[in-house]
Amino acid sequence: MNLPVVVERHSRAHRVWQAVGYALVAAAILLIAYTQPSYQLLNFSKVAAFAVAILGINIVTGYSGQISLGHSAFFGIGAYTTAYLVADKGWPFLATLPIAALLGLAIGFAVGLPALRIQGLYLALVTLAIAAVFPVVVKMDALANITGGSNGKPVAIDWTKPRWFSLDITNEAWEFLVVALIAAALFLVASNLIRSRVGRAIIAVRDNPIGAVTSGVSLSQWKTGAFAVSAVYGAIAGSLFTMVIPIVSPDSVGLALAFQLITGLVLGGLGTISGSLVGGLAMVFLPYYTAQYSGGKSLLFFDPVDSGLLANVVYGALLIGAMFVMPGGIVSFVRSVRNRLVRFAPQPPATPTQAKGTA
Amino acid sequence: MLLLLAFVNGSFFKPAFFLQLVTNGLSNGAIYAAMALTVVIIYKTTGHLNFAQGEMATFAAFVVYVLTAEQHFNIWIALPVVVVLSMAAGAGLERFLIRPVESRSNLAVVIVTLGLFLLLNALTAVIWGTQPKTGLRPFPGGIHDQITVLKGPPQFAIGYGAIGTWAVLIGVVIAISVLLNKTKLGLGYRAVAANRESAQLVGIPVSRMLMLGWALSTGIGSIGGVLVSQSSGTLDFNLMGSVLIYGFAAAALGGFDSIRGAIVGGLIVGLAEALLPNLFTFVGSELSLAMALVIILAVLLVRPQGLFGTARVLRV
Repeated sequence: MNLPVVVERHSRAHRVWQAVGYALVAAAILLIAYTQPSYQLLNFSKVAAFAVAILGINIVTGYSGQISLGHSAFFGIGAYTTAYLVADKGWPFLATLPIAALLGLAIGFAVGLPALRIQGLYLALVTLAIAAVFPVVVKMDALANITGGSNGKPVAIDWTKPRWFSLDITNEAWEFLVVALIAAALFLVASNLIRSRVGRAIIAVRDNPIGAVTSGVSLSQWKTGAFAVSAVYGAIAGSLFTMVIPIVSPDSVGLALAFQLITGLVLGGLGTISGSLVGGLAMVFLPYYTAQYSGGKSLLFFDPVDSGLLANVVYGALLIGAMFVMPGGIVSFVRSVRNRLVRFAPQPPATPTQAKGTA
Repeated sequence: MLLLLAFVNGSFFKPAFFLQLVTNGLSNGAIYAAMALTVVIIYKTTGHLNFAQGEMATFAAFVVYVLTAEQHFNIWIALPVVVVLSMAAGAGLERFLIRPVESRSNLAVVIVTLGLFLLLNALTAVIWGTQPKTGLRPFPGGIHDQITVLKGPPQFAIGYGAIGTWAVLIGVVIAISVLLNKTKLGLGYRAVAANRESAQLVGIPVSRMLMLGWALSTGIGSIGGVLVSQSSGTLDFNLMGSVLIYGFAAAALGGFDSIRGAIVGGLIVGLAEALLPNLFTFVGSELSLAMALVIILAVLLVRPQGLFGTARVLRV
């Protein structure tokens, strides 16, 4: 057999390949729900929430090429929306998702408009400042009634498995299933969006803005649009995260989160949908394992430290290392290996059939 | 405008109080100016923003702390040593971490400097702990170490720390201008800043000039770190967190490629931070960081080249 096997896109073989992929993801979700202990289920629920947030940054930074370091703020908007509506207004928690999404949309547009004039590094600077300022604003006394000030806002989220759901799983597994399902739906939407003309337009804007404008792609429309959609993803992620970890505090949605999201994005792979999931896994399990490793042990000759800090050292080193070793992230690396075995080729253009009656 | 007057704080216009605010503002402003200078010096030649600037300064301040508090060197011996070390480190960073990824994209450089930020911030905490240390004191910083101008009450006094900060800033600015305007090395730097390709063609070692920019910037940054530690009276691993944002605001205001702009911008940002929350009662002092964001946004939207910067032309 000659390697690589070439699979034509949209052919039957490709569909089978895709179906197997989806089936594997579904199987993995069910397997996790059935086998994992409750603390790991909590971790996997966090993965789902972070993966959605990273997907959001990926849309604006990976695909439309606008550097945004401020997605922790969008995440925070969603987190506080859910916390406020559930704790103070008594809403059922899943009903807060659309509200968080709408708020994210509005704020994403608001940030996307100035981003039309502010580009590249300057945009990175502005969004970094947004990430730094967001916790300060949330801490303000004037907002303490809504946000709970610097102590944060705890919520009670009741994840009891409803009676109509017949699978024999724990409440934590039910929680994970719901969060994973929402995340999976959002991934599907994003991946279809990127393959549609919307996606082609924003990628064109990234790769060659002058060419894109010449071909009739409206820069302002797609740039603000990408920002708005990515903010929606950020807000939904924050909302989901609050449902999993039922407290939100100013420091949990600050610069540290912004940097971790970027690290996840770069590690997973800029401009790849599945990279966002890999990034989410890295964000949750990297600190988890550094904590296990450093538990009680001291790093070199220093005193034992907060595992979060140790994780940040690793994040920083990985971030720099990734830029040197695999700038496309883990997913691109895996893809380049896979391309040696199986390669996907675009469908060849249909051969024009000769019109009847002409010579 | 009339509506705004209703919120004006009455005691703002007492001379002693006002002068005290201005002094505080200019003293912080001098630090912001120094940080803005570090941003500008790198930006002029490379066109990049170094987001790790603040953490590099914090790390340097901790090294000064080790030399003074633990090894008992005089701070005026320790500081120059650390400045030289940081300059070497800065040049090394440019050569080995930034240049290899520079040609790829802006995003790659942003990500490397963010990685440095995370790494240095956490490493500082891992090495020296998260508990704040006593602030560094290049200048006497006690309660009575000040020149009382108006006896009061309310009193108006200028601390030695503020005077020292101004002196250091003036010294740095003079040193930088002499270096850039009067030496052959500075001529090379300015040539690279003006036009990298042409500079290369006439035989200026461009890559060495880029390293020079990073070295100067890192050196000034470590002085800035020590000054921040003096003025805040503490030293911890998040020392420069918000200072850098103010520095960026100052650099944006003055224009990212203007050294004069960095100084003026820094002083204006410092003054605004000190005066606005006291002039209008509805501006809480906790919101001064938000003010920095507003400055950055407003300048970039209305006049992207800042007060003194060079305007650029973009096609789309």
